[in-house]
Amino acid sequence: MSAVRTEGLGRVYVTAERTTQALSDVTLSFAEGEVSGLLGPNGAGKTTLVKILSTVLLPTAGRAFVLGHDVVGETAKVRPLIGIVFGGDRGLHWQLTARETLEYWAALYDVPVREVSRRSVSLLERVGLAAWADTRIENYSRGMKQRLHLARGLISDARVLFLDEPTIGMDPLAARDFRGLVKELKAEGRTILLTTHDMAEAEAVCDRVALIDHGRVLAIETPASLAQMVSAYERIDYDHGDPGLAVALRQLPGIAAVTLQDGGAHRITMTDGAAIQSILQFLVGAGVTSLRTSRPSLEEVYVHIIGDRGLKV
Amino acid sequence: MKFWRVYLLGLRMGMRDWTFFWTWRSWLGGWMLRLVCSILLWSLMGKMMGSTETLRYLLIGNAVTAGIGTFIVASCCWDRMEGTYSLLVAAPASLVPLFLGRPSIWAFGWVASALLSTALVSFGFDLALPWKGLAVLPLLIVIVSVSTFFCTAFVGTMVAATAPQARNIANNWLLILFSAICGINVPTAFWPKWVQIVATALPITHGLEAIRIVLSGGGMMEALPQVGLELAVGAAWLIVILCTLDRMTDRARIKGTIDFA
Ligand SMILES: Nc1ncnc2c1ncn2[C@@H]1O[C@H](COP(=O)(O)OP(=O)(O)O)[C@@H](O)[C@H]1O
Ligand SMILES: [Mg+2]
Repeated sequence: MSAVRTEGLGRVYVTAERTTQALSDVTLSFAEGEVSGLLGPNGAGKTTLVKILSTVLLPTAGRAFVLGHDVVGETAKVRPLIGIVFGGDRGLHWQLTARETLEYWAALYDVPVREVSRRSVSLLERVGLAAWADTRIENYSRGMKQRLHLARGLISDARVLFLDEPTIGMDPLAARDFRGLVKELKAEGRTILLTTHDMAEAEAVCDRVALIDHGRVLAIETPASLAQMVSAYERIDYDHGDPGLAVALRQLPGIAAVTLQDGGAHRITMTDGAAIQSILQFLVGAGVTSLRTSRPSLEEVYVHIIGDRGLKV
Repeated sequence: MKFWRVYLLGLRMGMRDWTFFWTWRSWLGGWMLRLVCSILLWSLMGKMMGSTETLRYLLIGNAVTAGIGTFIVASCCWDRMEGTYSLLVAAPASLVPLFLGRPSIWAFGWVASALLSTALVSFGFDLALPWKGLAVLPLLIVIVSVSTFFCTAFVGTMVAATAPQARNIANNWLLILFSAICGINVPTAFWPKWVQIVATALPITHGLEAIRIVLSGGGMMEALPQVGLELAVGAAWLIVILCTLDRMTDRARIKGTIDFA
């Protein structure tokens, strides 16, 4: 059985100013026990999809199921099965301590009273907050709040976890630790659906990644093919005074374009990641001493995917 | 069992809200002082109108309801501000004990405010309140607070689900409504018939009537019908909450106003 399944799912928001089609015709299925990713830029519809799956938002079209239960018709069956974590430092009661927070949510998930203290202690240890268990959250740093938010999402021992941009605003080290935790949770047999706008993050933790934009699923990829896409569209920036070099470069195989950037540098985009080595050799041979490679932005990868598959945005 | 567990944890959250707002000193020196000043302001108006009867009416009406009705609507909306409302909705538990738990701390505060205000006023002015009446006053204030709590909690849950940004305006209008038509400053008989009918469905109206009876020397038996009506009004508002809470949150789920974070 799939952990999460949607059929033609759609959501329209109507406000006084405008009507937004946040999701259209999303048909997806994510397997149990996997870490699945929803990758997309800001406004793609990731949070909208997670909200529908979490039962806090009703779809305007289609259906969605969590472990086989309809999120609209069987909310009472879906709610005990899911845990929700979102990024940022909100979603907590700042006037409580960490221990009180976990007790509070444990009651809302009907965790047996004698289980609560054992579970809270082990969760707080796990997220590195044991020493702060009785400190009010208002005194926590942003990172501590985020870790407590994760512990909160785990208090009910949910089988399916929705993580909506959980590492947003985290420093790189904290984000790395967090990804380690996600892998642990997977090893415990939990199903995880994680949203992100960071390709590296999706590549690092997900078993499968759905690329979404403007409310539509563009593609479903493995992290390997995602990595391949990223390297295929990697780009090289170099500084060199001679415009003739750009002309010469354009003749080489594997080069999509050479463009002059604002700062005076040239940017090479490639059609094939394997060409990078020969291009770099060529540049060094031509006397270029200042060059950088960088990963493409998510938007650039999307443009390629849409171009390659003839999808219209 | 489950209901009380959630209710009590909600109440503890309310206690944390309370200490977030007040220390004993700021509660007495800020909040109580403000209440007493507003009672004195009303009594000044009574004095200017020159009748001791009016003065007594205003003093009793304002003192025994001092603070009642405050904070609940706002408190019902705080989860919206904290970004936890979505998590509450997504949790399997019913929202009823939660929305009765966290805000209810303020109703305990009402009882304290009203009793203290009445004590101060009866010392400061020669009201000659009968002992027999004073003996049942705490019970009557509790009853008025309970029924007002259910009414304001209904408004609070509705505002939280539909327009949380309007929580303070809604709370203020509600207080003005109580103070205008429930017999606090103006006898209900002053108003046109339809306003009186509205007042009948509101908390405070009947309970305050009962309080006025016992504080003017009437017996508890004489006040009993009004006490019964006050309790009935409270129960009715509770039933309204039970019948509408899920539907209110469903409306927010349909509209898409429940935010993550
Ligand atoms: N409550 C809302 N009312 C109106 N429009 C909304 C609401 N929530 C999201 N949107 C719009 O829907 C689109 C998708 O938003 P969202 O699901 O939050 O995207 P993401 O999480 O991928 O950044 C955006 O254009 C956003 O402006
Ligand atoms: Mg989002």
